[in-house]
Amino acid sequence: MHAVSEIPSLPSVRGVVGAALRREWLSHRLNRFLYSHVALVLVVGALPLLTPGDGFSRGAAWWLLHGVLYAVSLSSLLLGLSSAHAEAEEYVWIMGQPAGIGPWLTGKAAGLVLLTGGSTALICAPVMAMGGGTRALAVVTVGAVGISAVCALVGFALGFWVRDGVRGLIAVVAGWFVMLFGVDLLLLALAGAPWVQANPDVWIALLMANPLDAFRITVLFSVERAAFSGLGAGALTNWWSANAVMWLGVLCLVWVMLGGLLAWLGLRRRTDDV
Amino acid sequence: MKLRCMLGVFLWVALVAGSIAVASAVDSTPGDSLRVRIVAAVEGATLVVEAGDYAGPFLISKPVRLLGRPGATLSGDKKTHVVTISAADVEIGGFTIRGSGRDLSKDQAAIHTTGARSFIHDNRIVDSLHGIYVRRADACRILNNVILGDGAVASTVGDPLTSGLKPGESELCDVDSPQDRRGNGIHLWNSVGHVIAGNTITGTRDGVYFSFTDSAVVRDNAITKVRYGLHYMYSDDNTFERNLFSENAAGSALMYSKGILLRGNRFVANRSHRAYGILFQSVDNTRVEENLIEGNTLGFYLENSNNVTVRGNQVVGNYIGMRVSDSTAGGRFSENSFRGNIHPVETSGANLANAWTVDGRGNHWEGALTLDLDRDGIADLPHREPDLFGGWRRSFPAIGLLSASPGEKLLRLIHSRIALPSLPGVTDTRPLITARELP
Repeated sequence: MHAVSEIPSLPSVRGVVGAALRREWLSHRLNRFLYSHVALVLVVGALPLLTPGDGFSRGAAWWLLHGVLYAVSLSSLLLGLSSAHAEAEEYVWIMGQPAGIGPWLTGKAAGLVLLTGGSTALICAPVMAMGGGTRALAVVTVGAVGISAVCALVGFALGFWVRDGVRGLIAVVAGWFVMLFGVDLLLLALAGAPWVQANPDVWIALLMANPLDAFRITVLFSVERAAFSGLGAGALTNWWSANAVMWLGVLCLVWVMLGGLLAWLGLRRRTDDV
Repeated sequence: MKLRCMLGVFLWVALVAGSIAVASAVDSTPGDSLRVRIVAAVEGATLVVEAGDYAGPFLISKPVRLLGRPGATLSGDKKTHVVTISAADVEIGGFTIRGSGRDLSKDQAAIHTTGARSFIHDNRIVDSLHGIYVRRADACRILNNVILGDGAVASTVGDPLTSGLKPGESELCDVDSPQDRRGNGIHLWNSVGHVIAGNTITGTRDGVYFSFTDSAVVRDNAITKVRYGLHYMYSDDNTFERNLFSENAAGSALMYSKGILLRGNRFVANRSHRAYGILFQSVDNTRVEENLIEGNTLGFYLENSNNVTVRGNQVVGNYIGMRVSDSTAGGRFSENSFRGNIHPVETSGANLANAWTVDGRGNHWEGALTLDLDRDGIADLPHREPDLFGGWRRSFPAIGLLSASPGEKLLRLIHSRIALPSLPGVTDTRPLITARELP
């Protein structure tokens, strides 16, 4: 009886998630990547201040769109990759824990999303500090946080699938090129195909599924309200134009969950390899 | 007895006549008095009308000056024109005019003139079909009037390229939608030599309507929140300077005309998905200079227009800055500045029939890679402005969703350095380093 009482109880799922989350925070505090990301976000956030006169507030969305597309997205991907590779030497030990990898991965991913998204929220700070806070700025900031979280989780998942540091870096940069340029170029190439022209909703759905394109469309046609001559493009386009912000939110949520799932599969694959 | 009878008849007649006279005096309105004054006035007389509400309609059939004091209002009977001018050299100014009929087939207006040299100024026109309708009357001056329609139409506008502008004698009023049962601010038909300046027009159907009207000067007017700010066809040799055309559902459309000068105007924020800052169709030998074309769905569209000079304009922040069809030839585009447009130029081919460099000076293209070693303000390398989407915009409108995408920008960047084959667009051989400012 006495021996039975000495068997340590299994840690609760909640306890493992909390511990992994705290460790993620500690790890990022010591990792210079996070500080670089914060610095980059602040520089991007200050870009609207380059607008002459008092136009920085009106032009903020345009500046932040390009800053997020071309800089913050890549930085977030790298941050995710770095996070995935941070405990590479401890994988065997982690896999052997009785709670399993699910709670640990959940806590780690949650910590990554909170840190990446939270630091990206600083993107609005420079304009707000200059008194340029607007609803458009708020929408763009929330969108930037979502894109940042998605990219971090994509980098996180890639990190578990590609364990080698250099190959992981190449994979992340390649993935960034695909999201940023590849989808657009592919769609541009497909646009002339008779089947695509007969079924534009398929083409549009592919565009809608890319978070960077969804963010661009949201900022251009919903926040900036750029006059768009293609409104006769069909019901799906019209729906997207009218509900761009909501769609971006749903899409980011789906991509975050997908990123987490892919990370879990990647980690499991590693377990099988071991 | 006979005398008493005659006296009785006399008293009865006097009583009846007196009653009629008294009744007439009681029923006489300010409008009646004004009509009497107009009829009684000698030619060239000046009639000053004190503040008050004068019930119309009024007919001015001789050359007089009708000037309203502040607060003088001419009210129509909602059955016909409020004021009809049928004589030459009539002046009317200073009134609030309201309540014309609403019969589109009869072109009813607050002021309807067939008199040459009408001078219509400083009136405020509300609650009417057309504001000022000029019909076969030359050399009218229409100055500093405020014309307020019932509201702007945004959802009922057809693309003028497909639906066309409809000319005719009682033109443009045969419309289907009840939302369109609204007249124009200033309607000019079959006349020459007008001066239209300083007017404010908002919420009417079209702002200024030109049909078969030549040699007019239109200057310093502000036309906002109407269907077409400028609705113009079969009218030659007219000048438009320093006007504002803003927030109109379809922008400004000019068709089948020649010899026009557009200078120093602002075509701004015409943003519905069928709106044009300026649309030219079959407009020849025309100059478009130093205008601001900003924030429109399509800034400036030239279709089948020949020998048009487009110089020194600011084409800024439009979805498509300029569309030049291959049916347009002899165009001369120079010293224009293209900034902040999602697509600076759209073409349907190589656009070889038009010149994008004139007298050694091209245009300013924001974001272009420029090299100016001799510092003469002109880039040493040509600028290629591609139109990646081309004709797909018509056959596959969803392509517009790739606007300003990184992929599109990447191809644009590559094309600016290495000409990609078979890509529609324009080539500016002498691009300007800096934008020319508007005077």
